[in-house]
Amino acid sequence: MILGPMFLMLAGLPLLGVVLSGQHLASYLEFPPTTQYVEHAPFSWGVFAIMLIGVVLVVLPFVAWDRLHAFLDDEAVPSINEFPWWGWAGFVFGIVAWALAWSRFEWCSDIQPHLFTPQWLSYIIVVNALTYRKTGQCMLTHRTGYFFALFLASALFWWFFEYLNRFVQNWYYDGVDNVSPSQYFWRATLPFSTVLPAVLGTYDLLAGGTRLFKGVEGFFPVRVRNPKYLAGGCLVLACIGLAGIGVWPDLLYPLLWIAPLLIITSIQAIGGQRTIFAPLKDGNWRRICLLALSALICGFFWEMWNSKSSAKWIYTVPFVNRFKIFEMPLLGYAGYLPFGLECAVIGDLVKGWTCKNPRIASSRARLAATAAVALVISAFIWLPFLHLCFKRDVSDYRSREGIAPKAGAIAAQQFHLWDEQGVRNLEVARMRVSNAEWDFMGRTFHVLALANMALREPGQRKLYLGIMDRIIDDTLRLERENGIYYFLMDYARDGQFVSSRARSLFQDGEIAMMLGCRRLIDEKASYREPFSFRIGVMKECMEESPVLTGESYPDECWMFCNTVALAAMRISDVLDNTNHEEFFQRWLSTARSNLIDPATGLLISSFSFNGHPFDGPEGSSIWMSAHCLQLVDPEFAAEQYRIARDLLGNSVLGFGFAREWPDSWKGPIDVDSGPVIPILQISPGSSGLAILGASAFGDDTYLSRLLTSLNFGGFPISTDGRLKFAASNQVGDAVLLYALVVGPLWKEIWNRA
Amino acid sequence: MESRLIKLFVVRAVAIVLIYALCDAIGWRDYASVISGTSPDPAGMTLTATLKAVIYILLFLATFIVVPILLISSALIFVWTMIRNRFAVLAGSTSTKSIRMAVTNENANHLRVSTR
Repeated sequence: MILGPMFLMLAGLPLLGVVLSGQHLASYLEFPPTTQYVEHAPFSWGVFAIMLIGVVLVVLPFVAWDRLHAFLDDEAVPSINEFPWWGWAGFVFGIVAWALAWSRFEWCSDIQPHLFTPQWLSYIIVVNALTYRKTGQCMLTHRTGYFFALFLASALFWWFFEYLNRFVQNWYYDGVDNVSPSQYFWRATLPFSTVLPAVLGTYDLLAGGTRLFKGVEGFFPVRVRNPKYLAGGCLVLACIGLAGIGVWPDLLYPLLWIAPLLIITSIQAIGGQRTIFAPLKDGNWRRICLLALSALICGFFWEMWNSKSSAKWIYTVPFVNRFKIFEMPLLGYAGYLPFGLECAVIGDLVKGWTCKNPRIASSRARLAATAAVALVISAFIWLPFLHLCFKRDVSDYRSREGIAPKAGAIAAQQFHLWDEQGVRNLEVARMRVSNAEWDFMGRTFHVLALANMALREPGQRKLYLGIMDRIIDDTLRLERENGIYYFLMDYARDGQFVSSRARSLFQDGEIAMMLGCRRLIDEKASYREPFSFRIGVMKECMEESPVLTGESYPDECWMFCNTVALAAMRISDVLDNTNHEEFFQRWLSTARSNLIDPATGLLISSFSFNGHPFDGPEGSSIWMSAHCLQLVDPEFAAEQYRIARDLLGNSVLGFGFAREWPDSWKGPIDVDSGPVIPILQISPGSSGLAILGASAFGDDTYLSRLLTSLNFGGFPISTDGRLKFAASNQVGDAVLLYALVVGPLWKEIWNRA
Repeated sequence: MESRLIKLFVVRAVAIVLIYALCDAIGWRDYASVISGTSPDPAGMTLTATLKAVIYILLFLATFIVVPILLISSALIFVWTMIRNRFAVLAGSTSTKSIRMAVTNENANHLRVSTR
């Protein structure tokens, strides 16, 4: 009954805190969790001293009282059984696993990252064997169902702490680069599953096989007159604390270990259930102390075995990150004390589940709980594998030479649209209802794709040139017949262009690009003059602006269009021996000074003719801009891609995607971004263009994940060897086609330059 | 009880797959284009087109995310029930043995007392 609210609070509160503080959630839900975004406070002697004194003041009375008692009563617990054979087997197995894990033999380097789990399995077997020797029974032999259930619960339990760690980032894993989400999941889940059996097994051994902390069985009692009020107060404080860990990670990180314990026990107390603190009313502190000690003992082994593992965790704890014992800072070991109690709380819940009480067994609540746990475990099993249903070999989409099969199928669909006038008219009409620009941009990306395809398949050059000419002639005709507003959105008519030439760089740039690409593949005399005219007029417009940028719409400059214009100018330099190098240098210098978002280092997406920023860095703009800048300044372009990849690109469970806006900028959801999926901030527009970015910059890992998402959320439809994506439209498919064949054209330009 | 749960999960999984397959067969996949702001209907973005898109996308997500989870859950519950029943049988036989031993001891004591 209490599991639902408990789960909601523990998982939801940190997210709620982050949402209320106005941060984006995507990075907190990243999987595998590899990005480091919390910058921690440096070491502080003051904080270290206060925390050390606090820990000593809490621990010392119990230890001192127990040692005094032990001085008076030093009777040892006799053994009942011999140490069993399976205990010896576990011991030998553990020694071998330990030796292999710490050795650096070449022949066992492949299995070394996987030896942490065998080491812990042997630890668990050995502590169970020691308990069996001392008490005549142990979890492994006498509560086997409970024992195995602990492994399952443990995997979930520690994944929860990994989730909380996303908000405070007190540790991260080294040596897990280039690991797929499913590999990461299993490589993490297996060792996570040993946590509870190890801690609770150690507790069993200490409780039954030693007289440790016997002295505190009659220590001071804690009697609370209104336990439910106290529990309510603790619950409220713990909830506030847990909600705040993502907002103030440096201040509240200790709550990662304390708040879950308080929330669970408070809910138990309010519900009238027995809590782990119940024996304290009689002054019996032994279980509490032994649990804390058990976790500390396990903590020692965790840190020791981790310290020389080939894949290991590293701590980044604020204020106290010094005096390390293995990888853990000295005061970090204090976290193990409440952790032991948390293990026991979960262990008690599991015990309740696995008990054979017929009343509970027959209840509907138990059935619902079974269903809930099964569904949660199944989700943990399935979700890391989901991407495999949609993952295809990248070479199916993009090949180094020639045209990959899927790219060919998308191209066939694009040709089909130009062959079948009726189908094309329908497709264009559908797009123009939402955005007239898409009709235009679909043409540009199609021509760019065809130019690359002509270089990839010289045998098909004539065919591709024919289609390019049809697209270009049709575009020029429409512009001539309908004027410059035909391919612009309606609001273009609402204002006056500031530039004296009163032209849209959006149209001039992309038309110049189409003409230039066509001429690069094969010179066409009739395109020379219109190309030169567009290049000249664009430069004039850009020179008029104080920040050297042309308007796409009246007093509205877009980075996307300006970088396309620059790329077209570079093509002009190659084709017509013009020289824009000095202009490029001035443009870059001005852009670095005026058009870079200071919070991210990315180029902003839109601004006035005078350079006043309208919108910050935008996903649906920056990927193409970085690609076009490859023709202007490859290093600057690569830097822009790298930053965009870090701040906008993301992967969850093997699916790649991109956001429209970085954390530092709150921008609108519009026709460019597409409908943004909340929480992860997935933008279809930005994700589609990110495929172009990843392809152009050779980011194969990200490309593979983006293509997996495309197969999943793009809803591909194959008909007669043609491929289109239902979630997309002609312009989206044209961008995708260009992304899958991009490369040879830019290479050709650099070769000729 | 658990068998009812398994049946519940499997029946729902099969129902989701069948409805999804039906929607796919009648061409509702095309309506996913509303994601890109375009509608397959020449009339543009109508309420009907949007509803079809939402239903199709939810069914698609349910088929690929929820259905496998339901089926894996069914398998887990089945295995868990088998293990629990097995342990229940073992525990039952242990208890029977203990009772038998206790009775034997009691008889022996009774015999000892009688002999005295």
